[in-house]
Amino acid sequence: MSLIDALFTAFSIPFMARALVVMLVLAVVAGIVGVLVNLRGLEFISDGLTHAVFPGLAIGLAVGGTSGLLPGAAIAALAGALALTWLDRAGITSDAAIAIVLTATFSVGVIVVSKSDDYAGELEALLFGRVLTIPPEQVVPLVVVSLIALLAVVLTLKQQLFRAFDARGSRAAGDSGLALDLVLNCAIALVVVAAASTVGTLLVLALLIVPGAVARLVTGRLWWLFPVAAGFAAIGAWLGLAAGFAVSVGAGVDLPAGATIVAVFVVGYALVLGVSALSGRASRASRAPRSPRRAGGAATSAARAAGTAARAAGTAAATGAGEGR
Amino acid sequence: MSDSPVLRLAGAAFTHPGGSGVSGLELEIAPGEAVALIGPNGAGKSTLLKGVLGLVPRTAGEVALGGVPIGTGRASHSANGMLAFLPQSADLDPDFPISLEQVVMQGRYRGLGLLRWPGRGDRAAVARALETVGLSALAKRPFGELSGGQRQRGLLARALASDPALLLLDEPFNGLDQPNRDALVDTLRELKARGVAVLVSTHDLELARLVCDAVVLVNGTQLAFGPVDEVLTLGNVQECFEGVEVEIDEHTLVVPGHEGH
Repeated sequence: MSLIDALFTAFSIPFMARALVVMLVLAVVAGIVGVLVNLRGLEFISDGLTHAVFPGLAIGLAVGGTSGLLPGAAIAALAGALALTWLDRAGITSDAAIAIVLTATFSVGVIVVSKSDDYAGELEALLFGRVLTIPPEQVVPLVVVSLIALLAVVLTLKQQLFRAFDARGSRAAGDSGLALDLVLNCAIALVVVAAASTVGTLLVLALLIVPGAVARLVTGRLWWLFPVAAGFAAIGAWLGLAAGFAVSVGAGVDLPAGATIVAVFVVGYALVLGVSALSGRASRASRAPRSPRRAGGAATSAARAAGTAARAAGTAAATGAGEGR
Repeated sequence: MSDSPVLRLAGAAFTHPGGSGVSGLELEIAPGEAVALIGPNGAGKSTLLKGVLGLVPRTAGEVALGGVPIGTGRASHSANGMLAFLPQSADLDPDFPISLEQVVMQGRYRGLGLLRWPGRGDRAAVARALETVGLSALAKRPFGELSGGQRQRGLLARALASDPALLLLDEPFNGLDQPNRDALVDTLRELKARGVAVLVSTHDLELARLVCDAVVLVNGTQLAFGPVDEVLTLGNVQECFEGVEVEIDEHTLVVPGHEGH
């Protein structure tokens, strides 16, 4: 198979075209929302939402089959966004407390899924997604969910950035911190929902966190962060789908598409990190860790990216024949 | 509006949910007037400023802005566009990817609301504010690369860009070197000349004499309010700072109480 075939011709096949459309929209939206996740240091809340969505997906699947996935996930994600916003404002940010809540929701999801006939298959699809088998009638809902998240963030973008930079100043200027947090957490939740049915609930985090982290490495200019993150995410999604297709068809090794996309994201992050370290930008940024919070945030981003990479590698290994089954 | 004071506190008290606060506040600030808020650490100076901003609930008395009484609790009355607040600058993330110009533009957001984006008039206002604080040459610089004093002046420019009727400043002179201190004093004088009312909390009695028309002394409750020369008397300052350690150059002085007190 030629490079041209993998990068372009492959997407004339309907299921590949559907996967590309959904992944491009999702990646661009996740990239833009992810910049705010990075600037606000909301990695933990994002992680929380990916777990909270899981029982919603499971219950939706149990009640309505694949068409029940999206509504189930949306309800669970919005409930999760409300709960996590409240936890955050109540000052309950203890990792232990949140971890207990999250594993509890995850176990509810597993219990629900275990009642279905095809336990292993269903669980795998929910955790690792099924981007290549998105039914045609789900393309529009997935795109709409992504665009609602984008709209919510774009409409409040100035105020979100103000709050991210100076929360007290933003309050003094009359902005409601609660309203802004709710809007942002709901936008994150909607991205998680759309991503959950494509790359799965475990790998969503890479879409939200890696592009934002890449943008922070590439540019120090505020308004460039968004196009850089969106562009990186779009290229990563495209290359990931193409690579998965090329290896599966060309080499006969069945690569799970969602995990391949995430692996491409993480490889891209590693490349950018390497280049920026060589060019000295990273050394400049780490020269004086004047803000412990931000230094911790950067470390968190890196750790999350590493964790996601491990998950992706694990998925690729464990589900070898994943997508096709 | 020109007749009514920009800020009037009548028997007002502001109390944190935890119980600490400041009470017995009786003061008026007219347009173009500057009032120094003086008291020892923990006296409630920041609480008073945050109370006026609506960030700490009012628990007694009355607060009026531009002659209009405002509601109880934490209503975000600052949304009416009269107030600007200059925080203590240290607690902003220096790694946040934002330029000085973009920070100053935040001062315009309240007027723009959600849907509109900054236009030519907003950019002109930002340029004016930067010129007022003498930082025009650094407009494109990353905010985190500025010195502490320049950041403080940048935040002052942000406050100016919102065209406030009342400017609240929390310890703006802490840690400033002489050139930045002079620049800040000049800016405050210029603001007063434009008719902006100023309420500034400070330890710096000298500053109060330089820029301010009146002084309010607080220590948990209001002790005195009036013209600088009448309020900053030895007796008043002793009462306010009784037993407090004051550092003057390299010497530490413990303010004695009144005799027979």
